[in-house]
Amino acid sequence: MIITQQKDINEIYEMIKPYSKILIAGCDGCNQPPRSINEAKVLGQLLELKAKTEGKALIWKAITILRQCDDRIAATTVRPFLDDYEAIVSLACGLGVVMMNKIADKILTYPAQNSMFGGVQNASENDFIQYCETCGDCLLGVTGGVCPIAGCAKHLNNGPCGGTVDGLCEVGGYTRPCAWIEIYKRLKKFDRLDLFTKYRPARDYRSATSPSFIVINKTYTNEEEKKKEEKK
Amino acid sequence: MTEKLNSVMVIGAGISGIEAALSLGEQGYKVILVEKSPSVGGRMAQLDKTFPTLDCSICILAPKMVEVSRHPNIELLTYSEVQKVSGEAGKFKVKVLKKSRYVNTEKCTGCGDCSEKCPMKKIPNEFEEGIGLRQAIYIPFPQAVPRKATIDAEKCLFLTKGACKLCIDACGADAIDFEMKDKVVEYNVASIIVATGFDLLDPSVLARYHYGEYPNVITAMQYERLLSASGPTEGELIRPSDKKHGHDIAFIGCVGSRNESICPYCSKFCCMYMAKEGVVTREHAPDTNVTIFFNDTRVIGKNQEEFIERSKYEYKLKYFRGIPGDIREDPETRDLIVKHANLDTGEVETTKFDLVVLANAVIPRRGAEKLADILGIDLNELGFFKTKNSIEDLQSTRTGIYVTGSCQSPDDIANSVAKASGAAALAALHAEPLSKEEQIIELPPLKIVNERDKPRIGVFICKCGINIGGYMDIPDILKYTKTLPDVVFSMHNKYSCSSLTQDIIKEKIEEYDLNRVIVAACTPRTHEPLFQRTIREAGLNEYLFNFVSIRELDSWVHMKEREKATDKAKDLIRMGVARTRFLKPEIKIKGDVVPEALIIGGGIAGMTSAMVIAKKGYKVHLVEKDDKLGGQLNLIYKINFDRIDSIEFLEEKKIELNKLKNITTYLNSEIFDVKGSIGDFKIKVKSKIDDKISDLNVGVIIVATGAYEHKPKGWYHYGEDARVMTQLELSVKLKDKELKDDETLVFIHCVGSRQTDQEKGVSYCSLICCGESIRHALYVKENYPKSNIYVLYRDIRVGTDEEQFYWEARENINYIRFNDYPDVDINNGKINVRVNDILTQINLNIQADRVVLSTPLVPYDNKLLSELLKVPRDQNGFFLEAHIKLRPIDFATDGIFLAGTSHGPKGIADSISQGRGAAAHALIPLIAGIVENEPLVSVVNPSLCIACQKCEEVCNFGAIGVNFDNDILVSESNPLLCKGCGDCAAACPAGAITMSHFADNQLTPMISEALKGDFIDERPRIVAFLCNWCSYAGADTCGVSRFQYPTNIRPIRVMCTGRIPKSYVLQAFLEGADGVFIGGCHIGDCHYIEGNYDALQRYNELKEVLEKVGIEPERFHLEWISASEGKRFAKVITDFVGKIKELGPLPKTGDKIIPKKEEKVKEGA
Repeated sequence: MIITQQKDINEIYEMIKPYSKILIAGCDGCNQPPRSINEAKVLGQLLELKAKTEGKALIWKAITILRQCDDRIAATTVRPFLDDYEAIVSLACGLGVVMMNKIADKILTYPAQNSMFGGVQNASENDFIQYCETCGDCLLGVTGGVCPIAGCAKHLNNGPCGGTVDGLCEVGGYTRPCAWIEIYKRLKKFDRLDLFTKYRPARDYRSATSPSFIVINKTYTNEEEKKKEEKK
Repeated sequence: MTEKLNSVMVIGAGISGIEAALSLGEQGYKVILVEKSPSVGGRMAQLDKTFPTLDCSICILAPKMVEVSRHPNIELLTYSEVQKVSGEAGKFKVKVLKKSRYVNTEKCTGCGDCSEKCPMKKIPNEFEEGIGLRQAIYIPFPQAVPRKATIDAEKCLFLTKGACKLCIDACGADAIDFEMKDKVVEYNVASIIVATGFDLLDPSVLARYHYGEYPNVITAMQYERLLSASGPTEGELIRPSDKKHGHDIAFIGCVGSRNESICPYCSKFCCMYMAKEGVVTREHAPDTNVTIFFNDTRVIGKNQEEFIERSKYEYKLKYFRGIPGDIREDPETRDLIVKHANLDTGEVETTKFDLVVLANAVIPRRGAEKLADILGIDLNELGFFKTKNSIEDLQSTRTGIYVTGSCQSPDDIANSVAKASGAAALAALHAEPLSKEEQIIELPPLKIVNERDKPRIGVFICKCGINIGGYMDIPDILKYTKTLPDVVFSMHNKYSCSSLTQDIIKEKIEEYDLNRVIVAACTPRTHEPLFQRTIREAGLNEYLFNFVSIRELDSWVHMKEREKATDKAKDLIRMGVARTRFLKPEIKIKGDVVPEALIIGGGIAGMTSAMVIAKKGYKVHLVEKDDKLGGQLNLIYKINFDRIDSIEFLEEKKIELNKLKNITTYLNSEIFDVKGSIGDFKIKVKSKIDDKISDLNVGVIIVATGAYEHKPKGWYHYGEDARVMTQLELSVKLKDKELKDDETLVFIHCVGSRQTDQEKGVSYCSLICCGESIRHALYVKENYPKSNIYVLYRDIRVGTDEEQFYWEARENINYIRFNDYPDVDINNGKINVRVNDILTQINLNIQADRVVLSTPLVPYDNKLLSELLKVPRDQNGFFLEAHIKLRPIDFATDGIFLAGTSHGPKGIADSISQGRGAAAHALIPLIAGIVENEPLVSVVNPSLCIACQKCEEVCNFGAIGVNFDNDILVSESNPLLCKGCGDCAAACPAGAITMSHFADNQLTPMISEALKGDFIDERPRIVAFLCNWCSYAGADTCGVSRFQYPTNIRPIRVMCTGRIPKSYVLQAFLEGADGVFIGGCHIGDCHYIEGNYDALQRYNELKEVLEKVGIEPERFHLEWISASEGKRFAKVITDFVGKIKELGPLPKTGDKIIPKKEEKVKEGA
């Protein structure tokens, strides 16, 4: 899931200051904690309150979109409102904000969130942890399911380094566990230390170029494609 | 076989009697509950807080008191006494004397006008333990049930001297009747439960403490009243002599208890309440020093050892071992000088205190002998009711009469509650529940009220004599009410609760075709059910009724501001109308119950539960993981001090169990899957031998998985040398007669118990090991008289009737108390024990032949089971009950109960009574055949749900969550489990959850209307959200006590502070509030377990951003106010209004900007 954090209310207010009618769009998609209609409504109320203390009037409407990162879903939901509002505030992650700007290009969409990382939610503790950096070259198969790219401060492919003391990492003052010690423990538990001692070559950074994109290649030939077109 | 009677009598309506009555009443038996005093509640109602959680005592008790008075199967006889009992078990005839109150309780409204006029104002109030005063016509305390006046015939001027009758003039309800006579009524009952409680020793028998002579020496119960916010000093800690605050307070334990010539037994709960009162004192006034003098700190239940430790280290109470010899008074300052030993220094010290509190002994109820005589039962040598033996401690000496609570032996609230349900289970065996037909009340068919129908609201405004009418302009309010939308009829009444008015309400519903009714009167907390019943009798659904409180929340708290009080009443009624327009009929939620029970664990608790349920004719599945039933009993030699042979006892129980053909036992089996909820659980049980799976379908589950004696590896060469053994291992040796005479045995206590260091063992006290050790020591000494025994201990903790055996043991067994754990060395085959005796400060070396270790009782690993059943465990691995005091045998999740040592360490007698109690609770749904729940529940709109599971996170009852067995992944609410707090509705980010009866569309109009009022003073305007159980109740207490506060607040009642989403608060500010107030239960006291934590979380988050949008954070305020803190409620509101006044109105830039708002609707994709 994409883990987000709400921006400071004043930062959002500054962005929408030039407008008097705004649309506030929640997102029911993966972003955590969930930012759906009620969060959008609370944001609207706060912005209105802020405007009121500054002696201004603000008209707003709260909606929510199933997934702002899906162009079709987002477009159908937001289209009916575009003529009535001067700007959109999106409660989605950065992906949602970009997508909204693309599909609703009559007006600008502003972000209400900072997108933090791809992470997991520890529901019982109510905390969010980054376990994956979407590096494009997954090592988890040889590391017992513990990611050294997200978990190791140096992103080492072959660890641990000399900065680990009693299983803790020197970065951050020995408060966080060393990912490579965790990897060792996991592999030992499952009697797969053979994986640990194996040398892992340097990462393939080609897959981590930015901006990345993936095209799912067609598996049928051009002639077959032609027939499809003709049928239409 | 002749037919059994339906009725059971319960004598005494303290917590134990109330619990027994409710347990029986819920099972469908007719209960006659007899209480000597004018109100139910007993001792618990007098307490300020309860240990170890510091719950407000009256807050948690009051709902039960009200419930017992309303229950259709319970006939409550207060101010009544049992006179004569004849007949036998199954058909007792009981004569009950109903003493005359001289007040017609049908007419009395509990307004208190009579007390105000009564000239006899200086009578010491029994409820306040003599430090407060009452009148001759009085209501004993604000939360009394029934809230009806009583005339004290011995003090009344008219009844004693023939002149006065002022109360007759004062009473507007015409309720006083001096002609009223005592009445004797005869009842036929199948069985009787005695729960008459205890009295306290008059400490003046110990002349050296000068109680009654020195004003600043008081009893603990008096101190309890001093601490209570609704007590005579309103919670101010002032000493009697000069009304000044006490800063140095001493508590003296064992005043009369454990004293051969006064009370030769331990009163059991004093150590705990001294710690509690000390902690509460330090919380009240952190600059107060608290010193406690004690003999042994004795804890008697779960989490109490930890509490004592916290009282020492966190709250810095000073503990001194040894009871002071005497108290002297400084005649000028009236300070008290106490001489006591300090065992740390070995010196005798003299310390000065402002106040000394005596923990006086618990004694049998005065008149217990007479009652025993009437009932034909025996007393034991201590004067408490005698029981069959030490394990059957609920059975009196007469068949059909059962005893529970402290009348049998002093006990704390949790044990009294568990025992009460156990006694109810036994009493029920003689009776037959009322049939369903007998319990049905004939009601007219419901009028169909469609949501789309135009509301036709009737408003009835109560004058409550002069209690409302005297402080506001009722005709003006009435005129105004008639102008409100959808109000088609409106009138005022002298007393809305009178039966005359009930008839008028019914008539008007008919005449004006009303489909919704509002009564503006006292408080919904006492009177809502009455009016709900009235409109139901007129064919309207109960939930089409709305209560507007204009007495407790208005007239009584603004007595000198007629104009403003009138204005506020108009606002309150307008808010009420705004909500009422959107009220919907709600129907009780019902589900069928499979008439079978599952019991997990075949120890003595589980076996007992199984038998109680089976005897009532229901099928029971008893699952045991071992190859035989009986659990720990298989390992014990003799039980308790009456030395019941464990194996014989167990065999008897097994024979009894095998006779019951409706019990199926699954040995060597474990639960491996649980689905469903109360009424319909689907269970898979797997045999460990052949992996055979049995599918069960049951209505209820009892968890009794037990605990076992810890094997202390790493302590004292245990496991390395066979001469070092645990107590249970010694027990086996005693059984097999393997000891030799002339040996030296060293017993070491608390090996791995009461440890502050987690590595070394558990933090709790196992409660039973001291008794076990004494029993074994005495047994060794009897059978091997030349043995030498040393017992090394920290504190000796034994029960009330075991104290004498401890004294006997001390006569020729060496008891040595230690602070530092002893050392055990084994050299050349010789065991040497070294210990420092704290009494003599000498290091002792003991050559031992055997070392016997007392180790804790630890729970089995129940992680999997707790996940399957979705029930929690505590930090020690024991199962966590719904409420440590009042619901010790229930889980928070309905339909699942617990018993025995899986709940916490306890003896066999307590395990058996818990087993019976759990069975009694489990029988409630089984007998009823259906489960019912109030329709105040959450409803999920699946089309809006985004399956984020936020609701599941906040729900404490396992009532809502995403059902992964469904094709569509959305949240589902189980209306049978939902308790109606509304936390999920506030937490839902998608707006998919609606709370019936407290829905957004019912509450948000109230917020809007609250801010549209005139507010005669103009500003500030404040919206206050109050939780039903604590702060709203606190506001009621404030009203009853007539504490005045400014009129600026407009209260909105919600069930829990967890119901309040951020948007409500923001709406209030946007629509013109100058301040928003939230009042909830103290942390830890929440009626819904943790709803207030979620409120606190939202409050903190919102407060932070409010500041950023330019609203002073002081304008938004949250406060925890308990039901007893009436005065504090007034103070908090006064302070808050004052603060908002200082800040001025909102918005500061002028009122002109009122942005046009469009309706916010969710657009789905």
